[in-house]
Amino acid sequence: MKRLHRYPIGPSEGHGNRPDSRWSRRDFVRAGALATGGFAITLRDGFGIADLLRMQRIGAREVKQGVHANSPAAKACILIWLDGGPSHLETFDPKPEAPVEVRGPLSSIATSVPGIRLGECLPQTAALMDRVALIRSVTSPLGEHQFGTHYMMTGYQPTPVLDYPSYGAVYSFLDQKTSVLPKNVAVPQFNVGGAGMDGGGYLPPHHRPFSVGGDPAKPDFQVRDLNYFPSLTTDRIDRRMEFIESMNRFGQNSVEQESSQAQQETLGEIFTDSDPDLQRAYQLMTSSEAKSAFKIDEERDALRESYGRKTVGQSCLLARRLVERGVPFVTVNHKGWDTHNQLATRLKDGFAGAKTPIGLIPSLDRALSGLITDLEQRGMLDETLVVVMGEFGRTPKLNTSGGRDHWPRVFSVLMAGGGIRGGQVVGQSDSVGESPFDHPVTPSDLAATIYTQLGIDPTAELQTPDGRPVRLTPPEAEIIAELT
Amino acid sequence: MLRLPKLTRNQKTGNETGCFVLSIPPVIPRLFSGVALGFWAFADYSVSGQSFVREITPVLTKAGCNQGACHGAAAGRGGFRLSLYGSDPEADFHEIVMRLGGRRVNHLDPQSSLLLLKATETIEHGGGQRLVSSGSGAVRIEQWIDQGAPWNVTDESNRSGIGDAAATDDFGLQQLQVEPRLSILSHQGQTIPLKVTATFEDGISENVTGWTVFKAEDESAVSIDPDSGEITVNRRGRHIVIARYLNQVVPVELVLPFLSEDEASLRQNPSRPALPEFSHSEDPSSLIDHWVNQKLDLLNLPSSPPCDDATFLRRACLDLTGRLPTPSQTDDYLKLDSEVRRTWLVDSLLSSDEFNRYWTQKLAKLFRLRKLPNSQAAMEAYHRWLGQQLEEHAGYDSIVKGLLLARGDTTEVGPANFYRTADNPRERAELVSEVFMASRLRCANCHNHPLDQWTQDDYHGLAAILATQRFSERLVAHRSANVTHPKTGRDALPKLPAGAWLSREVDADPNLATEFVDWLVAKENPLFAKAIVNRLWKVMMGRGLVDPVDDFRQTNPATHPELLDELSLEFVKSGYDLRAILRLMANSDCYQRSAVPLLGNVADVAFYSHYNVRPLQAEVLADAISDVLDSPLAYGGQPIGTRAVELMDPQTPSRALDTLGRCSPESSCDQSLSTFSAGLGAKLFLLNGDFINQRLESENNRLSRWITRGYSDSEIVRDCYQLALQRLPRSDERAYWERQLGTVQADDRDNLLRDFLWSLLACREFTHNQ
Repeated sequence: MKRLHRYPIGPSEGHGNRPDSRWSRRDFVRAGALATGGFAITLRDGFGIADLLRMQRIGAREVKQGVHANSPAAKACILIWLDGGPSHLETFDPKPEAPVEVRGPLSSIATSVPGIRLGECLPQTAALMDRVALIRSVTSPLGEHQFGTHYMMTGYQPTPVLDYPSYGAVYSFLDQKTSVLPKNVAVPQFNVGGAGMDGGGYLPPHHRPFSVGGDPAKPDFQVRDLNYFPSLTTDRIDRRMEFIESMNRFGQNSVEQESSQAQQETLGEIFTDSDPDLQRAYQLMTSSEAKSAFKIDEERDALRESYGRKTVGQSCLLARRLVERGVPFVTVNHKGWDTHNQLATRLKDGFAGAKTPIGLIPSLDRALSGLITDLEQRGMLDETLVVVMGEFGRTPKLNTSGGRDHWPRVFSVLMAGGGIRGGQVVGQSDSVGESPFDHPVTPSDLAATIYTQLGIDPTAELQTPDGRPVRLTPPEAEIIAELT
Repeated sequence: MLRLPKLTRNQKTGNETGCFVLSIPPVIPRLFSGVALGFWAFADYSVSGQSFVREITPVLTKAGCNQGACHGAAAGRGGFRLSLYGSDPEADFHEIVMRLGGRRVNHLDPQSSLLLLKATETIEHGGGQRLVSSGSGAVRIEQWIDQGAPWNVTDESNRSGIGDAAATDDFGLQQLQVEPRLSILSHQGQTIPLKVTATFEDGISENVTGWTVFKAEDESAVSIDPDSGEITVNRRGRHIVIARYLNQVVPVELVLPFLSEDEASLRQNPSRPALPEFSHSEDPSSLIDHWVNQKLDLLNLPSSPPCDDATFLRRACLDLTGRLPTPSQTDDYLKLDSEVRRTWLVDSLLSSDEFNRYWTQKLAKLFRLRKLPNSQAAMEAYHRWLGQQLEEHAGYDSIVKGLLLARGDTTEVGPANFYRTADNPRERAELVSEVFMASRLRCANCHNHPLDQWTQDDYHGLAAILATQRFSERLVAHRSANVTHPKTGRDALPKLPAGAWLSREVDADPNLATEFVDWLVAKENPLFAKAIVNRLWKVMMGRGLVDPVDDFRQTNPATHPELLDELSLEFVKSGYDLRAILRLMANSDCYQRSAVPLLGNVADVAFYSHYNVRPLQAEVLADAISDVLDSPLAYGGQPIGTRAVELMDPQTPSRALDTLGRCSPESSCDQSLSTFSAGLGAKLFLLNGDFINQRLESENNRLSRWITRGYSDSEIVRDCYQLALQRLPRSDERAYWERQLGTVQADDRDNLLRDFLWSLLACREFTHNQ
């Protein structure tokens, strides 16, 4: 069974030519797997069209040099995604001096850093203000959920020509460490921006975020299908894996039978019999150590309490457990921020009928402060980048339903840990939170900054399945230097 | 309105009292400003050789000033706002000449105009240097300012007309000609010079190559010298370059064959039969192969040989009816003479009930049928109506007419539910244009579409038409419909997309929809037939001739334009018969090729040199597994035995379908055929979840019954292969399974057979259509 445990995507050794020097530029990360109908393909060269395919295999070798080239601060990233578009005015960019129709129903509070104020529902985050940095001048033209989400999650505005990968998929793709746990995890689900996005973009599908599925705040939380189906044993699971690999190899044989003698040797290299996702599923379910990463009830009660008992809190705690065990990218998807009406109820008080009536911001406050404190106490904060953001902000003026509508022209992003210098605000919005006042920051700039903090060169190039090289961030993206 | 000419006259006469500071209201209603500017120009400068639209807008576009990332952003940049790609020259003229107290142009010392100082980065400019001082662009602007920064319209009569169009898209540009439109190259690194000629309505032709913006769709494949228009192709394949001048965009196609002539002759590629003499007017059957093979020849791409009969059986059944062939179907098929087998199969599938049911769901997904709150009865009526249309072989034009013109109680009149899927008129405009015209009008909500013909007037005009269809239990046509045009702030006037304004007489209102639908389904509308034919093509061939299939654009040309044209003509001639076009496709050599690529065509994903292998759609896969197990899966509260492809409500709760990757009901499913092959979660689900195991590990499945009846090992292996893969196990496979079963402990045999069947249901050959 040992031979099952190999990773088919990655440096392929032992055959082919030396890399052509044209493609060996160190600042280029060229990698990719040409997938045709699910077949991972690598080709031996020696004929015209192999040019493009050869680059991909060479690229896979160069990845190692491309990652972590410039002394990264962070080894992992936890993205707390506020799905729906959080109001910047009630959270990270309050306007206490503005007229009431702008200021809104909630007030603001001082923080541990003089001169920086936060929304009233963020007292615990306010106490940690010296650990976190705010960017209050993020600006985007895209005020629609799917478009805005794509821009914020990839650094690229959506285009029909190409589907870009999210940060987590890129990180997973470039990370060469072998690990049984998936490298790109979403808690509870990666159904962001109206679920129009799978997060993998043009990268091979197994880099898409793995959605844990269950709610970590529920007492019976577990990852679906991770425990053996009752009548199955390890022997039978092993046998199934062997059988399916044989079946896939038979498929490959039929391919060879149909092709001429001269083609067989090369075609043998084209079709691999492995299914990366199935391999990973197998490894995950047969490793009790990996499975224990998801056992959130191993955590002390007091610690669980400190994150808050809502889904977002326990999701952040699970994210910490995963990062601690080497998962490089976790997205915590906090839903419900599309507050077109009943702003105060949704954001602060929670609905009266709910089991624990508590609004979105207090839930976030507990979760975020719990996470930062916990990471710090474990000595993990410096190497874990925490990012809090949504797809856009909300309109500066309240609407007639007592809510705020979509507003991408200016909004705020919070960052902490991972080499970010806390206690500062980079970029201001104007007096009513309508436009950037100074230092406008685009989602592309943000992408360049996140990649850089994670030790990935934002100007590096990846390869699409059809051989197109694409930069990780658009050429105009600039790193926000003030943050570090 | 009257102040404006006066102000500018002062400028012209060199009035040095500095009355540029005359206050101008920040927003002059654009209609009036247009008239005023026109009047002024006519009065004073009609003899001038300079004109803002012809001379200055191209400079701004070429220098990139008005692109979305710079001043062309909706909010402008640095307090300076231009229209995207210069689509609204009047506004740009106003922004440059009037705003900021006229500081952007300095009439006394043109060189020190803010516009030039910034663009040449003589003073600090966030966007860097866009123009070289004393370069041709800077000189043009300087001369224009020196002449008084005039507007100088080209056609006075157009300017003075009042209407929502306000002549914003009238650049006086009659034709933009790019030569050559198609180039076949011989080697990498080869260079092709492009020449762009603009012909204006006043008859003047001008070489505008230097002022044309060229953009390669794939910048890694094609490099372009922006000044000379010289194009270098660096990668093999077919590439598109977009040329933009003023308001027109023209795609240019460049082809560098996959194999050079030498390589092609060295390799003994299986040769295709010579192209038959082609005259589709009599016999359309060779139409597809004619054009597809012609393109393959052009690209020096060898085509894979035909697939075998068993593969074709499985493929056609899955593509046309969404299910595996039944044993009796297989028998009937194999009994026939091999000459007629395939055409017989296609005909029998197209006339089957399974076809009707599968395509009812396909159309339902295209039209985004879904359950709205409290509308079970309405959804049933809608689904039933669609099913009827397919059973009755209704033409696609009549189906669409039925949808768009239905009236009455939505629980009785099924098609009346169509408009309910998009409540507000703008969403409807987007839905209707995407579904029936495969065009993304959405961009034209806020600005004219930068890559296509659509204007804001088209978008809001269509919304105004569709707003007349009101729903409250019953769908009725309503007189008053208000959609606010964001530019004018007034009610948008009903308008056909890229077509005529519709009259809004009181009595005519209810007929707006009729007028639109007549226009939509007319034979002359190129988009209607092409949109659906292209979608059918994707179902059968795995990729749209225009891809993505919901993004028809002047700048996204089809890979095989003639084929799409002629197939669409054929579709119209057939009476918009979906089956007729599917039959043509299924009977083509192109569709019947093997999925196994050859060395020479393995890199091809767009030219149909081999069948594009694809994962089964979630519903089809779930049904296929149930069929092999002979044990149905329950979906929501539906009766046991309901097939996944027959579910009316795309949101019927089902963890299986969610995990296998069914597409979301809000989208048309155009993008994602299926995401099945992807995802750790889906694999855990197959391997370890209850989806397969619950049935496979119980007595309630075909295998358990066979075991109980005492079938032998080899019988079980053989029959499972036939059921799942429609073929017999090959000798190496038989040997493998004999070895496994021969060495198994007696009490483990049943489990081993279960694990065998599991591997059959989860292997790539089963989960993909080959």
